[in-house]
Amino acid sequence: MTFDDETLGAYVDGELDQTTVAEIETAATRDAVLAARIDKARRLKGLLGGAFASVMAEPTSERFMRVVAGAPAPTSAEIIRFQGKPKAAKPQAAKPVSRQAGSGAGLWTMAACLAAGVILGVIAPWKTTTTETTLSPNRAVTVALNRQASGPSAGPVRIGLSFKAKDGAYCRTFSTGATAGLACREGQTWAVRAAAPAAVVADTAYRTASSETPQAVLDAVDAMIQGEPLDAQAEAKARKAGWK
Amino acid sequence: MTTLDSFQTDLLDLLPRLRRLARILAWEPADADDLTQLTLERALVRRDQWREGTRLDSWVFRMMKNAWIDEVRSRQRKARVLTPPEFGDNVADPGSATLDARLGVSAVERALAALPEDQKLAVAMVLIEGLSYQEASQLLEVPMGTLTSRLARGRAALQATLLSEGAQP
Repeated sequence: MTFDDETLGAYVDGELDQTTVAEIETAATRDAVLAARIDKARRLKGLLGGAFASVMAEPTSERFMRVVAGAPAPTSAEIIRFQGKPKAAKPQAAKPVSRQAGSGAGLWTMAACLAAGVILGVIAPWKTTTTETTLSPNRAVTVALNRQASGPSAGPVRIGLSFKAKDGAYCRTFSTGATAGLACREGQTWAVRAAAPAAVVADTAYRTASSETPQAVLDAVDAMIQGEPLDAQAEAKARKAGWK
Repeated sequence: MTTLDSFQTDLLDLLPRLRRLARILAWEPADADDLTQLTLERALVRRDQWREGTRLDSWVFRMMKNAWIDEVRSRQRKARVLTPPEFGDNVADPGSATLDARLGVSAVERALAALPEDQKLAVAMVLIEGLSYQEASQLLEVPMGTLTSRLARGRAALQATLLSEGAQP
């Protein structure tokens, strides 16, 4: 009985059924050439397992620690909440945190604390309920979200674009120089659904430095948007109607 | 200092393997580390898409493979500053062999670098990362038959380079 290289490879990779395995092993006891071919395939696999062993052995660099730690950990849950793995949130962090609009602290302080080069992450918008943590933008951002048209601005806050989310609420992206984010209308107020440091995006080699809105925020927009962003006319109309 | 949640610690546990895969794909250490960082960032941003109970390693590997294909390779094509795939063909060149020795690059790593990319990916996922054929074919988004034939060709080329008479692995 003969076995081709692909079959012998699958044998070494543990991908064959028991019958074929038994056939190969029986044949190999009598066929030295077959046994040598199996040995060769095994040795190759062993050699490959040692590839870049020195890279594997390097201790975790601070760079990657920072990248991984940059995502919201439980201690950050009062500011930014990730969807997905509820066990990540400790009970005390899961308590609703209400922030007064205009307190001036909150998001911006948090953003300033972040190490450069990390992405803060995105809040899943579709699971937000009143019992979950929400974050209100500060007064300057709230004013801009309410009144300012998308595009360049002389003020401290720039609005990127406006759109209607799949749940029907109006949402707008904003940036303040240090931080960029996405806020959506919830009742009479705006709730921040995603935020990330704005300037550090340019540090990442594979992103374009020209984009003012960080990828994390753009991803959140992609996940939430219904149709296209509002044009100037539709935006003005929504603004006059109080974003309802 | 923030406390890491389980997703983050799982990612850190994967880091050595991610860095290895990045080296296999990108070759140059600096590019490999950039690829690793990009992959980690994407994994964190998209963590809600990962289904608990499924393998985190193949989920992140897929992300790295896509990141490599989407962004890095096109950038390389434009920049043309990185080591071309034919680097591995130059193993007979004494100059490059000396350089390799200085950089601690092994014959296995050079042989891997010389493989065509589709074979390299198949070999990396199955023979190095230990994914099953099924997992690897899903991750690489190719039919099972395509995966196994790429694997066979990659294996044959590597054996010829590394295990033929006179080869010094």
